[in-house]
Amino acid sequence: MDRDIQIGSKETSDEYTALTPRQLMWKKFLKHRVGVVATCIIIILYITIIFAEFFAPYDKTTTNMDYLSAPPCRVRLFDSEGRFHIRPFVYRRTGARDPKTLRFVYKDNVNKKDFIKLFVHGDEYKLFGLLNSDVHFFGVEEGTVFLLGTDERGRDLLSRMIFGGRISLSIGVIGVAIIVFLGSLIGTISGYYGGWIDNVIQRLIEILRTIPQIALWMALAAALPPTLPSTYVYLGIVIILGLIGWTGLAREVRGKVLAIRGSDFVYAAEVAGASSSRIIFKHLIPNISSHIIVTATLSIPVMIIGESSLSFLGLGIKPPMTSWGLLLNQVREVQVLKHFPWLLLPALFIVVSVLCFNFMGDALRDVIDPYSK
Amino acid sequence: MLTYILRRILLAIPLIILISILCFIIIQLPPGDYISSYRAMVAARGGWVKDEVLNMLRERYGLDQPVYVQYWKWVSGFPRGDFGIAMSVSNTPVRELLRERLPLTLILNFLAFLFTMSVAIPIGVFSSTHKYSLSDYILTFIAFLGISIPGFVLALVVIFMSVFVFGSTYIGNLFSQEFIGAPWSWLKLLDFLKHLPAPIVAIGVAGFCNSMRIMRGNMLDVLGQQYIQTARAKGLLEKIVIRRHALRIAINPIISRVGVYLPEILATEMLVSIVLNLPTIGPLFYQSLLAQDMYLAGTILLIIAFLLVIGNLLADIFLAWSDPRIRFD
Amino acid sequence: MTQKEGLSKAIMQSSNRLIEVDNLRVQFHIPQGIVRAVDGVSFDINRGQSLGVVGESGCGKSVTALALMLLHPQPEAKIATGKIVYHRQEPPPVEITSLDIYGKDIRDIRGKEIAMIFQEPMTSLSPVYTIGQQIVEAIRLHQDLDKKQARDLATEMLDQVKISAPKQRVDEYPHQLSGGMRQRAMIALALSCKPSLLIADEPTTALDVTIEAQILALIKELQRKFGMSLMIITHDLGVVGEMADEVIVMYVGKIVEKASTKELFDNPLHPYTRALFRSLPKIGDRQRLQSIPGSVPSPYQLPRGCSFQGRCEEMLDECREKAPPPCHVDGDHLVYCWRYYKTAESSG
Repeated sequence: MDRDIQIGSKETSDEYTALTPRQLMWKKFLKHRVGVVATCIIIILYITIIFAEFFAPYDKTTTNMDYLSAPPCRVRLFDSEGRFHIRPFVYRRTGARDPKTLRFVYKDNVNKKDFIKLFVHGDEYKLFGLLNSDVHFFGVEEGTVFLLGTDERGRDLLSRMIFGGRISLSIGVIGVAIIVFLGSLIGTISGYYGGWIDNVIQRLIEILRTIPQIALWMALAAALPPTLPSTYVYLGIVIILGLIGWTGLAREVRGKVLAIRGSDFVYAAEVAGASSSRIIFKHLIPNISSHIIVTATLSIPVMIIGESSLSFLGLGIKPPMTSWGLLLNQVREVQVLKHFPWLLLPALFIVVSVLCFNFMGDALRDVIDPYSK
Repeated sequence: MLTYILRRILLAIPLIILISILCFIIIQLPPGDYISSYRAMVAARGGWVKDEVLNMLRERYGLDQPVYVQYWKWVSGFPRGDFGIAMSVSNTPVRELLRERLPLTLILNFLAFLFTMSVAIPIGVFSSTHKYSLSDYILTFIAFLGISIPGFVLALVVIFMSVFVFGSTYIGNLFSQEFIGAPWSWLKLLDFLKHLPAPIVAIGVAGFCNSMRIMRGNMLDVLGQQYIQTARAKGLLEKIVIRRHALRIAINPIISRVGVYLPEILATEMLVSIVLNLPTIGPLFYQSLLAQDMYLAGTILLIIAFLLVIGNLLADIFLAWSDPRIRFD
Repeated sequence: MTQKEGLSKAIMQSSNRLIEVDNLRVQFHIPQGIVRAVDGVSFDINRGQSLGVVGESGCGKSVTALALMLLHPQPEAKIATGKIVYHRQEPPPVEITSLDIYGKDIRDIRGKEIAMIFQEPMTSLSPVYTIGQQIVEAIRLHQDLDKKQARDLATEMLDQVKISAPKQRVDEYPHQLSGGMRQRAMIALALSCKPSLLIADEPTTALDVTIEAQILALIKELQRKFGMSLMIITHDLGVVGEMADEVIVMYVGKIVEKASTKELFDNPLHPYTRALFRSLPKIGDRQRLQSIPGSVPSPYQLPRGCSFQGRCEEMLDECREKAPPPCHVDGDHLVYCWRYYKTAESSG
């Protein structure tokens, strides 16, 4: 007879039985190359914004009158004579107003090279309100390095984007925390107790879902008093996002609870005399927790987009705080787009972070709950 | 079938009433007395309010009276077509403002919906029958990208592309300067059509990406079913099997999802219209919020919800026609 | 049987032959590896004959049946080697394995000359078309009839399969019918173009026992009436005994035993077949049911030699080394087992 074709996985059955479900899920997750890459990008993003003061070359409010609306500076390795420098550098620029268009034009001064160095001293800051420092991740000792250009007040866009990211990304996480809390609680109660409680909650969800979420967000955000200080606005926005966003998760949780409510192990617990809250917290929720994690991860992009939309419209985050959406608020006119297109870059960050969260959530869902698709 | 429709209509009525209560709560949300904030709003624009205007407002909305009277005064006019007065738009009756905006909103959303479906469904089918091929991967990536771009960013990109890449001047508003307020004519229609592609693409992209993936998923589910095998076993052409049997069934979950999809498309349309400055309901809503004219905002919210409930109803009826299993419930 | 008798019998049978399957191998190419679902299967079906295919889930019987109509799942499944020949009424015979899977030739055969009914009547019929529409679709595909004629034929077929009130039923949807009626409708659909071969893949597994008896009786009667061949696939030996003239027993993609039904029931030879018979409960017998020890090998790691090794109580050394060849015992009784190799050799 012919030989067996070498088929299948090389691992023996012994290896499989030794892995716990958690380890199996981890391995499966790692196989999703896209999901893994996305997760790495997200981790990098969050580390950057947590230590925003360190990573950003400038403070978010530092204005620079010499460089208003400057385009991104070009980082070079070869100078005008063709010599190679290991350290990247930028030419110092001088700005002047073009007499015809009345706009600023910037020219490189090839005689002055500013080398980009790591861990330079720059603006002072207070990390987490405790540590005093002035070391920045990168920068130039003299001159300026505006990797992504400046806005009309001469503020470095990259720095503002990093600080803005802090708001945008943190709102995503905190908003989702609210959603997870509200959604899981309400969904579980609805599914577990059934009856009129379930009916009332279902009606409520239906009402909230009929109106477009963005419209509700806008209406509630507009209801915030205009005189409210920036931090309270932040809190308000987060709460608003969470307050309207829990309905999706609640419906999913309710579905899952209904599915396992009839299971024998729940019945056994009830027969054994366990109290409702014990059944809910010790039996139901652990079983659906992985599903909740997936839905939560996929809800973060919704929060980020929601906050960006609100801030873009001027209904969200207020100065001196800044977020990616708020940074885009300045690009609303076509003329601005035409002459200062680099101001559109925060949009790229929004898209990238949302994309990564979506990929990550999709990979997680494949790993944890492959049948829910 | 008739009982099914009647039942759905009957269920819709209390829903609308409850939504109206929610909208009214939103109207009452901002702190402070309405009259004084109205005064402040007008003052901020450098004007002042005449007393007879204030009295008219008090009369119309019952502003000195208890909450439930205010609610009734606000809501009772709706069946008669009296949608109140837009305080932030020189006290124009809301009905006037809606007269052109409402139909345009409906047309724009409907066209965007058609655009989405007519692109998403064929591509979704293609993707499912070419599973794991290169085009499938590319399309999946594009789909992810599409749902990751916020509506307003897409609108900005569309503006950028239209003006700087295609050199189009039909951007911003749905009509060129000379046709605004003019009576309808063939030229106006043509002008309107030329303004349409940009917003429809901006609105449709997110929806199309989502629907495409869902269609692909549905098709994959259906293609694994036994009745597809039966159809093949009859000797049918593969392409007929796909179209007449698989697609026919795979499309039903999408139709049933229309109820969820309509608010999404409306939300995107609102954002895109705000950015592109189109004469639809979204920008009106936005302006009312900026001016803190909560009555106008709440009224518009209720109208939007009402439209969506109707749309939902129509979708349910369509679904019952399309899937016989539902009819006999 | 003398050589001469055997030869004349062979000649007679060949003119009667409907389907010849020769060393068929169907492999599934999936990310985890290659699965040899059907691994060198050879058998024939004669005109008017019933062939039973017995085996447990996953042994490849369904894939074999699908391959006969080139319906093996695309794109994963491929016919690696082997030949399937279909003998029409008029020569020349068609080599099915050489046809294009999506081509017109095989589509002309499907439904018209070879038809198939499946296990789950619930999901075998499309839920959005009436059964009349689905039968008419098959009829108008292969026969030149107009809408009314086709509809009348469909109604008549429903009558043939003993569905009550066929004129009403023809406009009903599958979910309005019971499981048994749905299966009858499926049979009506399959037979609507009077095929030469009906393949029934576990047609009664999803039905109640009483309905099962009715359906099987119906199939048998219609087979006689239309002069069809029948290939009935099942894991139930009782069904085989009832319906089949000849039986093949499959295990993990291979045939382990082939015989006439009477012969198989009287004298099962292969250890697997014997174990199958032993595991049947017998009325009046109060002993424990005997299950077969061990489990089916993983399709990714098939052992060298006989696939039944490790579970067989009569193993020999050769069983681990090489897969057993077919051994003729007593005329048409074929067994793929080393134990009978010596006996067959010695009996000449």
